[in-house]
Amino acid sequence: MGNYGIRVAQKGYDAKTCPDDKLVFSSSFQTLKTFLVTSATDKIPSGNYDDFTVNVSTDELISSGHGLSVGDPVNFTTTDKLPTPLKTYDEGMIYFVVYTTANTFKVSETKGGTPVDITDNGSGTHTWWNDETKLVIQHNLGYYAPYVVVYNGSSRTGLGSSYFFSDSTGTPMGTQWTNYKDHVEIHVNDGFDDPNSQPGDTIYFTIYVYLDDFSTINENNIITSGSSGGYGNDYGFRVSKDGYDVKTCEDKDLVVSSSTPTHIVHKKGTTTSSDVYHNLGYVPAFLAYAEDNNNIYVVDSTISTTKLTMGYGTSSNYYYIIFKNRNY
Amino acid sequence: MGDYGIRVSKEGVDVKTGDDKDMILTSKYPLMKEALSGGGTVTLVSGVQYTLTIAHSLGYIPFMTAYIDDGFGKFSISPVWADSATETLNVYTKTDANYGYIIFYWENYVSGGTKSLKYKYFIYLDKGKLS
Repeated sequence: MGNYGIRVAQKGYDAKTCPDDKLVFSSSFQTLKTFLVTSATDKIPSGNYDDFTVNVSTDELISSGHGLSVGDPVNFTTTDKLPTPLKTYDEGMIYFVVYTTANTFKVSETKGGTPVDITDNGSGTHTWWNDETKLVIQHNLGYYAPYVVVYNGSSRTGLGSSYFFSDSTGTPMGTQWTNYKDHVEIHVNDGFDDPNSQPGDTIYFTIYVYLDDFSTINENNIITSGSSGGYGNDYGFRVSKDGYDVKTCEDKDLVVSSSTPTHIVHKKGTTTSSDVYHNLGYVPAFLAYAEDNNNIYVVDSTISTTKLTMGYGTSSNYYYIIFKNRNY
Repeated sequence: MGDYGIRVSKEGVDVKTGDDKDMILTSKYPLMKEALSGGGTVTLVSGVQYTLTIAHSLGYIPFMTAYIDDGFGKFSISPVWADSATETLNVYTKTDANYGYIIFYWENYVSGGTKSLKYKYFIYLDKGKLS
């Protein structure tokens, strides 16, 4: 049986003969679908810290003149054992202040949530730290999905920019901005974006989560060479988002258009190997993540004309998507 | 109203009953759309930051990715921060309502000099900052 399905070429290319990387999309190849795009804000934490005791009957943490506000993130350390059921920062827990007086406060596991019911005093010296915050963006997909976090600046730097997985000084943030199977977490400490931003500044993000998972797609080259066709008037097809007029809306408000190339998946999957061969013969675009502690994060990887080499991760489970889009 | 629109499934998946994530295309979920792409080579001077500016004329802040050659034919997705005993390399991207930028900083602590790097960028119609 010959090839069947649908094939849409970029403007100026013959849909029958163009190379695969000049397609808008084809029913032979999966594309990267946007499941969720949203914005989120938080504040750079103060970096303050102090010791505390607890009042078990009221669930309050006692710390004279703590200066915390409702919504502030706190994490805990101890010289021995924290009051039950509080967990330490090293156990991966960041809490949020939900109630304050001048000298006491209560915490919850979620912003605005129910205060933690403290049942004993613990032992040793306990310290609270307001030096790291955590933004949670829920997606509930139930599996690892590709994602991107973009930093849009702070109340100090202004909001006229976007930075891909970095702060405005160029510091990579891939390991601090991670994706779990049901949510994305953005961790920011009190030194974030220093010196351009400072503790107390409001910070802004845009988050993309894609619908696609990392189930295996093996490379499936159909055409690797070919020439372009002639140019003509606007032609092809257009699919608009719900609520947008397909004839008049802007290209950015489309699901897909034959005018704009999309990310066509060449190969994707999971691997424990550091090298994934793609056999495209040119350098393609890619996304790569490593798994650690039930989440995935952007891992420093490199790609050549033959293979993707995963960067160092704390585990050896990697998740990758290699696109047909040419990188160089 | 029932579900409407267009749905294209991948081979082996029933287009009527398959999961959305196994579709080639569904009008339910937009695809990332490239506005423009390009590439080239920059020559960096040790210790001097260099900013490559790309006009996109979209009038809003778009999403952008860039890939940087490590000098040996292998590309990393930016941001890149590589430190060794003799060199440091930092590359990251930024976009605003009119331009995309790739910001390069390279320094050779031992001998200074220059370094050539290849780069490639994609600027998308999709927004890098929601309104």
